[in-house]
Amino acid sequence: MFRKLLEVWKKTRRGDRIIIGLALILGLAGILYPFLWDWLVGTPDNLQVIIHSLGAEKQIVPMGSVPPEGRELQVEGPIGDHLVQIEQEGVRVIAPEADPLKICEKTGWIRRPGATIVCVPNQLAVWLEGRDEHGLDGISE
Amino acid sequence: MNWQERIKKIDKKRWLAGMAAVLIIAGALAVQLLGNERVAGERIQETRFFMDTVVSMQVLAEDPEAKAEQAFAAMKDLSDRADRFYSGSEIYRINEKAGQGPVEVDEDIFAIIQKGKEVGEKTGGLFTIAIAPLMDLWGFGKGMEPGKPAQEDIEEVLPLLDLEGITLYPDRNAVEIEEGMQLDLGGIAKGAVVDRGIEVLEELGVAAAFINAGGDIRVFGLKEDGTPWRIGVRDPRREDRGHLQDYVIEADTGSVVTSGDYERFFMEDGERFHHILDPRTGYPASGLRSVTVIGESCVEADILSTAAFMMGEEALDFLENYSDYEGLIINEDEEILTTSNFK
Repeated sequence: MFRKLLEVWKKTRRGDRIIIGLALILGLAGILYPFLWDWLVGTPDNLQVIIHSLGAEKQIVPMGSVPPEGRELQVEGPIGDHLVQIEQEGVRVIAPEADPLKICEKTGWIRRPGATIVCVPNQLAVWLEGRDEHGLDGISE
Repeated sequence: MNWQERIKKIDKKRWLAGMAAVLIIAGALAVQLLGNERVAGERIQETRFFMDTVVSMQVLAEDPEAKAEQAFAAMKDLSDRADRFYSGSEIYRINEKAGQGPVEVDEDIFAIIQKGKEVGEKTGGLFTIAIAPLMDLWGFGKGMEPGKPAQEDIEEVLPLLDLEGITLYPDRNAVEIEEGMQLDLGGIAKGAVVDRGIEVLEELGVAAAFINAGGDIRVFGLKEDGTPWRIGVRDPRREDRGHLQDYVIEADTGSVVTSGDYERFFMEDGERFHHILDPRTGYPASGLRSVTVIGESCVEADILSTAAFMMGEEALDFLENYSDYEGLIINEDEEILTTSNFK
């Protein structure tokens, strides 16, 4: 089999080899396309944090821009200030003392696209946008 | 030498090699272009914050931003009118007039109340839109301080949760509730609002859409590459808020709604109290960690998941009675159980 292929290969000319080479590249690209796509856009760098608070413009923080030591943002609200802690692999919110349930703080770190942290008393919402590594469009919760 | 002469000069083996190359190229292109049915238009994702939750929407259409905007506006309008804490809402008006006769409301709010009462009655009152007095007693209402109430206070409000105390007048879209009763559409409004968003997008001729309101999800159509929407189910056992790896739902139509004990809760004397209250006992329901219901209507899935959550493992038998809906439950032993056709 291999010998036959070698014989055929020897009889090919430069033009034939260009066509075969192109075909192999395109064929390989076709097979690897989904994986390449994941690799290109599915990385954490693609993630961004969206911070929505009452009466303020949405803040967008790309995870790729967060320094290794992390970043903290103070967000004002009617019942006190929240602290939004952003690290390279996730985000969490520290609730003000006046927040009775502290649901946002109990939510803990969020790390996947679509995950949200909500503080109803302070009308604060923090969520992650980006492409999910499992190819999910959303999680029912 | 012209092309015909050139072709004659090509020997058979070289001809075969050329053909193989062409076939490989055609195959690679076919996999990408024809393997999935492509849809015209652009898919966008927009997110808003209302109903005290994050509402995200994906729309595949021509001019998708404008269509998403219209759907969001309709959803926001309906959610405002269904919010009992908003003094301009129709529910606020009904509650204010408790015991004072019928209150006329808009058709869509009437439809939600009617649906809540009808399906609630089918659940034997396990789902009740008259839950407000109990929610307030536990401090789960907006802006309230949560805490375990006294037993006598619980016993006092339980009769007020009975759906029998709600009288509907379909001929004039009027609702009457008995004195002391208060409606709370919190357990149904999200589903109804998601249904409304999908309805608007369908009317606008959108090719496909996905709406997620705090975990209440409804979809229709296929994505631009011809693939269905992929929806995970929250695994309450995972602290990273991840999903059940073996239960990813792929759908081109329908809703997925989950009720779980992990979202709103407080701790008191080392005990954990969550917000899904059982109208029979007045206490947080026990026996399950979460219930996921899939089916066409988001509002019905919303009601069924809440009602099933009260039932412990009997939830599966309960859901089996609804041929258009399937369910997945996770019990307190962290076992996963599903209805017969869940997929």
